[in-house]
Amino acid sequence: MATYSSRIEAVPAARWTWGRGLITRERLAPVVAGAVLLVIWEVWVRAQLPDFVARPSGIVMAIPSTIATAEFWSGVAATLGAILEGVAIGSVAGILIGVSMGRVREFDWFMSTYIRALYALPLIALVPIIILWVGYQPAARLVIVVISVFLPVAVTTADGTRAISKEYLDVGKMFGARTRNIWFGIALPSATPFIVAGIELGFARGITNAIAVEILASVNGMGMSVFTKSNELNENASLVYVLCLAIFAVGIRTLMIRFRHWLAPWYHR
Amino acid sequence: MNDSGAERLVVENAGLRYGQLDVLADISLSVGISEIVSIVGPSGCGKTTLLRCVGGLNQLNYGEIRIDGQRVEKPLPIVSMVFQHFGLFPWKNLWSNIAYGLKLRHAPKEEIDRRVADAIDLVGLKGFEKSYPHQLSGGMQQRAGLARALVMEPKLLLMDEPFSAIDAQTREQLQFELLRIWDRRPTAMIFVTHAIDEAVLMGDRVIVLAGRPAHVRAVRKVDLPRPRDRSVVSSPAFINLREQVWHDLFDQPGANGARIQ
Ligand SMILES: Nc1ncnc2c1ncn2[C@@H]1O[C@H](COP(=O)(O)OP(=O)(O)OP(=O)(O)O)[C@@H](O)[C@H]1O
Ligand SMILES: [Mg+2]
Repeated sequence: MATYSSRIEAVPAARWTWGRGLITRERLAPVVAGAVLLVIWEVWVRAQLPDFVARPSGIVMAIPSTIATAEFWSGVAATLGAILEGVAIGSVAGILIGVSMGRVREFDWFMSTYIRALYALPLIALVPIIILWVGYQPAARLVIVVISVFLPVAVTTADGTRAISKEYLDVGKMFGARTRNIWFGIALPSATPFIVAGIELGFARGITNAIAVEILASVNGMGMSVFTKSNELNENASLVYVLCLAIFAVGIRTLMIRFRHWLAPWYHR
Repeated sequence: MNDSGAERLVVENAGLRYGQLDVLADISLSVGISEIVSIVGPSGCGKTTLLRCVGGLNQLNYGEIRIDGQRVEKPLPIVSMVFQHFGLFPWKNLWSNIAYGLKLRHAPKEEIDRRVADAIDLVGLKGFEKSYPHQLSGGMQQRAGLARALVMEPKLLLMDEPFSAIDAQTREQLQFELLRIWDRRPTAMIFVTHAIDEAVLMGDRVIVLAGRPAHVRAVRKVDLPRPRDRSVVSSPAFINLREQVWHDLFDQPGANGARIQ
């Protein structure tokens, strides 16, 4: 009886506690901060700046007319398509080279210095050179995304597969694992949290560099539209594209976290 | 149970060093075809090292280990091991962890299905096939480690303190389950443990390792009837043996002498 009554008391108490329901202080805070920022922006532009400067209400109003154009959809398809394709190619290549570096010491000796040097370099410095090599065309964008993803994935995969625990290795050997089984059956899966982190970083760098190529080489895509709309003094439309890029980037981040939970449910950061 | 004529495992004058550290010195022992040999010894004396050598995971510096007459230089398919640390793969569910060895050996799918189901049934984990190791208790994980070894139907089973990371109740339960499983299908087994009770309960013989480098200080024959159940533990023979092994372990060598039977 005593436990029963204490359970009844617990329910209304929980209902009135901040931080347990759908609307929590933690979730409300960024919404409030954003709203305040938007209001300040809106008021300031209206009061002080010329008409063509973007402001929140203008951006919202520009959404229908911007996304109703064929240009918008072909730009979105071109940019996102290239990023996804580049991430796929860069991840596979990065995983293969990374696991070789992680598991074969001699290979690591040859590769590690250069891969790590390139990894540390801001790749955007190479964008003009790669455009010259590949030409002013979409292939340049794909190449830069592939490299942007390849480098972090190779580095994290190498680190993750090098550090596999002796316990797993012993089990593998005891039950007859060959080198191939150790690489792909033990080293890779135990390194999945590292690899996913590498892909996530590669995504972020890939998006940045893809936009840079589009602007510098006038390759059709969202980045180029941001640039041309802004040049046409159509800042509101330009920012609609930026907004879409931001949504894409945040969406990818959320998906990658889910992806890691799904691939490596045992791993808690 | 100790058919001295047919030995599955023979260890002859085995010695091993880790760098400057002499770990094993002149160890000789044998295990019969369906014999359980318990090995007890103080922590850090080299029990795991010896077991790893028998399993082919470590190499001796001198001496020889033979299984069915074959020199051990790498892990042999007829040998399985249950690890002190469980060693389940966290990215595989229970079923896949247990099927691991059979899959590596490319057993036919129907055979894998049947043998894995049997092994899971044997260790009492039915219904948890889809669970991942982090969703299982310590006792369940060690059962899985046992099933993974048993499913290979090994001719020599190596157990490295399999129950030491498990609470006392589960441990007692698992001891008798292992005895029951062994009664059904007796195989050669080395059972490494810290616990003298456990060594006597499981073994046909108890080998006491001690010293640095470790050597065989005593061998005790366990003349307790099989199948063994809980009543054995309170029998005078059991208590007497436990006492003897205790002295083998803790008396100063020379004082009561290293007695070898
Ligand atoms: N890889 C290694 N390199 C160097 N020394 C080692 C290595 N593995 C074990 N040793 C040493 O060898 C000795 C025996 O270790 P081992 O693990 O075999 O002991 P153990 O009897 O199994 O101990 P426990 O009962 O605590 O498990 C210890 O002194 C340990 O420090
Ligand atoms: Mg040990």
